[in-house]
Amino acid sequence: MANLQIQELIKKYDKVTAIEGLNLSIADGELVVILGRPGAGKTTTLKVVAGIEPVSAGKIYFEDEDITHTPPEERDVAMVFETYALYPHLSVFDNITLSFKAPVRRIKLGEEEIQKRVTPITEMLEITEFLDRKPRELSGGQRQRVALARALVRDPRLVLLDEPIAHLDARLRHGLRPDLRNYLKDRGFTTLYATTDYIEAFGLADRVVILNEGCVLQIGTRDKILGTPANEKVGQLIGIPPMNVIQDAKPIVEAGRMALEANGFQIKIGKDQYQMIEKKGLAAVDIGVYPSDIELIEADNTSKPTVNGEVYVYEPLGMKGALSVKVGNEILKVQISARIQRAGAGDPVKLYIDEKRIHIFDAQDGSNILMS
Amino acid sequence: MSFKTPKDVTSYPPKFIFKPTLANWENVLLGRKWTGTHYETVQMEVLRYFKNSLIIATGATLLALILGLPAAYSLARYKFFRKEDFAFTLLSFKFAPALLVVFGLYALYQTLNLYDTYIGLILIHQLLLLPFVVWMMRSYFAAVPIEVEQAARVDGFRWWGVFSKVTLPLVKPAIAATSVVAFIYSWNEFLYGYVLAGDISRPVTPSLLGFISYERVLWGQMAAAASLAMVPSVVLSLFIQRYVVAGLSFGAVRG
Repeated sequence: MANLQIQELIKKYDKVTAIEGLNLSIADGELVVILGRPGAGKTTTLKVVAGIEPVSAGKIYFEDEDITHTPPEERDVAMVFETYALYPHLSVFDNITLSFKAPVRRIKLGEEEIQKRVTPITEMLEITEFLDRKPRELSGGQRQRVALARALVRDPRLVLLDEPIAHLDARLRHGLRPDLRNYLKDRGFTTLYATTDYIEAFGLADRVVILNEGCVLQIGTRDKILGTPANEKVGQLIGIPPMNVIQDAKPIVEAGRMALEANGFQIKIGKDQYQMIEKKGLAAVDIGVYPSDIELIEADNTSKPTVNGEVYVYEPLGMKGALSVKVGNEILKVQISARIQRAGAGDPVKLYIDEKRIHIFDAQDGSNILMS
Repeated sequence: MSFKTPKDVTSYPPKFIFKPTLANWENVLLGRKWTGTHYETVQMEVLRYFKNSLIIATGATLLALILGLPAAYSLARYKFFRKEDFAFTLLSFKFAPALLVVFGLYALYQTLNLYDTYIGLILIHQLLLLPFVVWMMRSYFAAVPIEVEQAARVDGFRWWGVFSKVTLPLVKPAIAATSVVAFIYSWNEFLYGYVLAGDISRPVTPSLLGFISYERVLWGQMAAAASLAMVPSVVLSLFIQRYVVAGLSFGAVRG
């Protein structure tokens, strides 16, 4: 059963188009994450669904009811704003419980029942000790948790979360992510969640929507998006560092072996991949390969086809490191374990790129050749 | 000067050290005749004029707030046809010199039977205060983050609920600051009170002219009455200073 349905949604601010023709259908109790860069239209999408921003065109259905023009107070959605948007004049407790005093609530709850609802949430979010304080006496992360509590306490039909844990410190963020998912799934909330963080998106979501400049690039599960990114821009949103994209490679056949001739080096590809390129009649393609899919090979190992390069720069990233390797005229990022400290600039290295792990995109529009 | 005897007041060079007297104050406050002088005491009903001023200033401030707050709110929040022109027109009420319109108003008030009534003075005073209230409050409303209001909508409040439960409490210090300044402005207004009011509704400022009599000027009593007229402004300012300061630094309020 499709719970929330967004059809051909278009939202324009004066002359700027924020969302261009969004189609999305969310099942009852499903957790869908919108992943995109800042300015991709995530917040706008949520605000339109909440009813705060009017649509320019398109329809929104909720439980088969057209709510495109229903005012926000009658939609029974809860929303966490990226800017928190707490009520500055009210205490934390009053912030969380103000919605129970709203005139549109069908059931009025007693003090005791409200308390019963507030307690588990404030405990999960670790804000119980701040209930008497005013928002201005809290840190950014604490305010964000209050905003989250205010949305979750209500038992709404639809939860909209706009980067709800982006401003928490790393420990709390990672600790809270599974708790939040469990909470949302246990309660059976239908959730639309916006974030810029791909780890968060894939960690939480049943399905992920990749949004770029107001257009949906791909909607799918984690495996599908990682396995077959629909567009090279999808790959560039995912991973630290993001996907390497080698522009304008030419398919060639040399001594019975098929390869892609890039800027000063070749990468071997499989027969089916070559045929796919040929079938589409593409003269040039872009190659995408995740830094984690490139392997460093010992110099004396000759069992695998390799490309040669030299170390350009090494960037430590906590437990991992990103090695930039100059291959031909391209710089490829390679993810390696931080324990391998072979970071001398100019050192020669051999790289192995598994042909099954590379993604081939149309050089014209960036779409994956595997997608029709 | 209010503590000087008439002789001391007019002495030249001015006396800085003199024997103070409460006679002026007694006369102004209690209407008591000061025996021992040669001139007749002008019987001034300062307290009654005081009350007039209070009614007019309070009424004008309230009316300006009632009319001005919604206007300011919509100017801050909504887009509508020729919004800036409307705001500018409001402000332009202040451009014309009062002397230019006051005689026309006098004629108008005579025909409308508004001359020398509280309502008449309240109406003209609130017209003076309205641009001020609207422009002040507009910037304060604009300083309330719009997402806070949107959050209240999502939380289930209609327009009025959002306004009364969230927006108004947030701009309360600003309203206090604005109304005090507006009240003082109305209290100190002279010209309209002088021209458009007779004895019944005359506010305290023009009433001070009553001390200028045909024969001479009762400087001492006028000074006493003028000092008295200052009192509400001063007290109000001190009392509400906390709010005024909070109101002026309102931009710092954030969720």
